[in-house]
Amino acid sequence: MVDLQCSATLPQFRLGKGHPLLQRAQPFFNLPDSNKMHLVEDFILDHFMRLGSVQILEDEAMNNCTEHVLSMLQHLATLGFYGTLVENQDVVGPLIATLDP
Amino acid sequence: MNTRKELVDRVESVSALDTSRDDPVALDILDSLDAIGFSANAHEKRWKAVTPQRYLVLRSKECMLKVLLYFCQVRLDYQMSCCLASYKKLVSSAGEDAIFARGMMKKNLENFSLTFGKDEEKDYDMVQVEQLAAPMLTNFLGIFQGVVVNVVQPLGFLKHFFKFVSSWAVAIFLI
Repeated sequence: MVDLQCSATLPQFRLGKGHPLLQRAQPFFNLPDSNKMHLVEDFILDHFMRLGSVQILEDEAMNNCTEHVLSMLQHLATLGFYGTLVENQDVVGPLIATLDP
Repeated sequence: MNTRKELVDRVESVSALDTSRDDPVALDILDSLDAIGFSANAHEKRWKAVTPQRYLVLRSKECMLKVLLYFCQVRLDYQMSCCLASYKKLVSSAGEDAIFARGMMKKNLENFSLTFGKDEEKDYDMVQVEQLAAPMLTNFLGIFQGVVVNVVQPLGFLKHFFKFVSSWAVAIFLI
């Protein structure tokens, strides 16, 4: 049985020892963990909370925005920035609620 | 039941048949349609046109499904992956089919949101899961059969070889 509670179980972004980005002075580059994009993750979550599980058909601007936010989420997820179970759970609830209200 | 054409064929068949459920063929088709959340009484909904606005929302939903599917895959949640993949296929194949997909998957999605992240046994609708998994299993069996026919059978001479060797081994042992 896979222990999903363990923070290292799920595939996630990590800079290994000796990675050239670790030598960079800017914290954005040299942060080695998957929580590097936590502000973007917060923004995505906030967007779905504000949607309130509803997509209004006529509100094209908001639906366009949602589509772009989702694209961002997809990239972050596949690149391993949602690397822990807690992060997954945070975003899955609002997603399912919006998918099928 | 996986392709759009098949769905259309079935809907047209139902329209042509007596749907009083006395006809065994009609009964079979209606049962199949019920299984994917579509009843003959509501089938006219299918023909609603897909507007650009609706298409935009459906694209968002498809993207949500991709993300959810990814999370399922990394969590090795095979059953839910199977359901979501089928839902995604319907959403992406044609806008109208999403109407079916909603009904079909609603229960599974509810279960998914309840059980995601918990270790307790998942209470999926196993009948649906089996229906969705059946084509995959058929494909697998097809591949397996292909391996047997194309690889194992031509190696049949090995059986005769081993028979020959073993008979000589027994003879030598007896001597």
